[in-house]
Amino acid sequence: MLTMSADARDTFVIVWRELCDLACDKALVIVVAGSTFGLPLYLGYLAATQHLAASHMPAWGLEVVLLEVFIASTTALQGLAVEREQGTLLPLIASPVSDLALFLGRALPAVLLSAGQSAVALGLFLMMLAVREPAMLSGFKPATVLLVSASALSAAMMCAGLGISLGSRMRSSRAIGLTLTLSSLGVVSLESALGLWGMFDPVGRALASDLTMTQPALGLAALAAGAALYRRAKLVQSLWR
Amino acid sequence: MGRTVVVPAKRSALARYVSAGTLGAVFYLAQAGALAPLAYVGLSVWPELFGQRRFARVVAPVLCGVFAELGRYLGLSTLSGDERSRQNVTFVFAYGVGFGAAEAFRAAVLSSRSPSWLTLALLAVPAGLAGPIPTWVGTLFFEANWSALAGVGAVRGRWGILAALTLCHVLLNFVLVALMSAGFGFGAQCASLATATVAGSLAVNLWRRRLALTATSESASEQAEGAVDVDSIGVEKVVCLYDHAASHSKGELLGPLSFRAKAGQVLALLGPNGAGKTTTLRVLAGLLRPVGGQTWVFGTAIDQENACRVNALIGLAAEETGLYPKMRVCRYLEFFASLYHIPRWQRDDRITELLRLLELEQGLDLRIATLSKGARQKLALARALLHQPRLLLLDEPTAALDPRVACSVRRAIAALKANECTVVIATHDLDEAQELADEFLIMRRGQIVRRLHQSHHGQGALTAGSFEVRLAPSAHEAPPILETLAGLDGVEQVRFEPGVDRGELVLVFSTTTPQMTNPAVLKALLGMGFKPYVLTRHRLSIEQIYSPEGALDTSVGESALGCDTAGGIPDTPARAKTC
Repeated sequence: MLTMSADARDTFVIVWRELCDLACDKALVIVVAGSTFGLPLYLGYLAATQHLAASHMPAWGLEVVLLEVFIASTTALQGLAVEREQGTLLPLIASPVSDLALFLGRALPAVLLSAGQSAVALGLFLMMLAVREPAMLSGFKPATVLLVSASALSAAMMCAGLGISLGSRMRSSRAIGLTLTLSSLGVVSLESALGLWGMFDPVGRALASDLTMTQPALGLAALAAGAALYRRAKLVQSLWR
Repeated sequence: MGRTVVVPAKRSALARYVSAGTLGAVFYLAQAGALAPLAYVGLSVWPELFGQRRFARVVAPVLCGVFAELGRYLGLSTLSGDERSRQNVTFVFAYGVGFGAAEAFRAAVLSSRSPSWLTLALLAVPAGLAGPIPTWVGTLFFEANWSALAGVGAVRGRWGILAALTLCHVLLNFVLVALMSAGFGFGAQCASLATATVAGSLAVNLWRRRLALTATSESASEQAEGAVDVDSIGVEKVVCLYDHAASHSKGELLGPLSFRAKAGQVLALLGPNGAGKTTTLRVLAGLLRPVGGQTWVFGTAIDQENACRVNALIGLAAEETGLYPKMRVCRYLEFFASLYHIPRWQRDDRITELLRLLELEQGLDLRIATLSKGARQKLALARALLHQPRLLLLDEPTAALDPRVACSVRRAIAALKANECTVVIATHDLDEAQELADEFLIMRRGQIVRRLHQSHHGQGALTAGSFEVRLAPSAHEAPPILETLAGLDGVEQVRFEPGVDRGELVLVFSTTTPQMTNPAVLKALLGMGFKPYVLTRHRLSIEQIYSPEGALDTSVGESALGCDTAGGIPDTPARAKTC
């Protein structure tokens, strides 16, 4: 039987703490709950009552999902700015936790929250369509659902990797917050463009399967780049410079 | 000096495999097939991440290659709706075996110490022939070489380059697919072979350079081994540079600095603000990397490779507490107990014991945000003591504590000392330093300007064999008294210092035989008509210790107590004034 390594255990401990910390923030919980439950139901209702073309529904689904990713990743990564303000990074750096576990401990809450929120949001959106206008669900082929999911996962990973790598180099918590928001916005826009291209453009449709797989690859590459930049020594430099 | 050990600068095998595994996942994701990366992660990254490295090294890459390719093919055919291809079992099996062999090749390259171009060819060509379609040779060659290049990049730890390579690979895939779709199949194969050859060459070159780097690092490590001592902690000729971001210049912040402390020794760092005390603690904690010199903790060099191992030995209570305000006290300590890998069955006892020691029991379930400043400092101290460190680094540990708790903290530190824990304290509290420390390092401008050892007679180094007599205001003139006392047996130095009250005289003299000399001094003073009303040990004032001139008139103590100076402190004005 495989035993969990210290890295995996440390990552789990840090991720759990981060998620508990997020759950303690009532304002954040309200925003997340509102965006996860309220927004997709509203958009689903709106799409159904407007009698739009079924083929356009995956695009709506993509936007719902990416909006959730944007909100979730930005709020989760704001912890970086708070961490800088409160000086809570130092005890973690001084503990016997590897750089990889430290990085994953930062990145995974954002990815998990984004992925969870987007999955719930997509489910609710589809549920609302199914209730109000079942014919509209015909636009959702398995391949398009896969493309939408891949875009969401990819966007979450890219936001986490990019945000952490950029945020680690800054001293000012305000600058970190702004950078995180802007980078998440950029990533979500890019993923929207790619997703819509894969759905509606003839060349994009031809490459849709490759696109579906390439997007998570880009996300993983962004995470890998973030992990490379998230080094103890460099973090410490940014703390005391 | 104690025994010496070699501290190898080897990259962790785990990191190497995780990077290679992640890379593989990225590559397979980049190619196609939803099931392939899942199979890869399941079979390759998982065992690499969670142990069983032998399995991961030999069997898993081959197995996962086969399964990944099967999954990839099935995924592709499902997406494209190609039922006919999916039902052709022979075709699917051959596809899986062919690319599985390519995966085995990738594993061989990553595991091998000296892959050669010939190995690449020998492994790639038969693997390609195993596939049913000849044009796969080109594709296989392409994938194999790109994987090798990225794998070598991963092993070298250059993740930035790796990310760029991954993107290049993805883009090339797109270009090749586009070329094939446009009817330029032969051109696509040629391009694939050409880029594969370039990638393979780069991989081999990078790998050779990696080997050269490893050899250099190992020889440097061997050269450095001489100064590392398994029974002590210390720094040797350490220099730190501070990066002035605003001025884009680098100035010397610390050093050259050298000291060591044995197990169970308490070292006090004293000095004015900006002397380098906190920086020294950060260097010892591995938080600041010196640009020169050596640092070690009980035989382990403090560097990036050993960061986790060293941190497990160290407890750090910095000036900034760095607590999570939303957490409860008990949860906070449990969190760090998990990170320090304290067994679950020990955690509760350890936490309770520390909270009792630091008188924090009442706040066990309180949120940290509601604690007072002193309580937060106690909690930070509890965090540092949680894993029973062998080296405790304390920066102003009792600065915000009330005297009673400060006293209990001192007792705790004394108990740690008895348990062979080495403690380094940066403090301005001379009483605390005097009470706890065995050795005092007085720092100024990043350097140690003086070392004082605690006397084995129980005399404090900061009192250092000097005594002071307070004399009530008198009409007598001062000068004759100095000559008279200087003439007494046992009195080595004597001088006046300003008193607190108006008219009060404070006479400071040093002697190595206080039992004989002190009564004689008192008798002489009374004989001259003075009214001595206090006789105590003379302690250096904080101003004297921190003064730029290093006005330490402790020469008597130094000779007797093993004090030495560093940095060539000249004779001080105070010494010049003595009789």
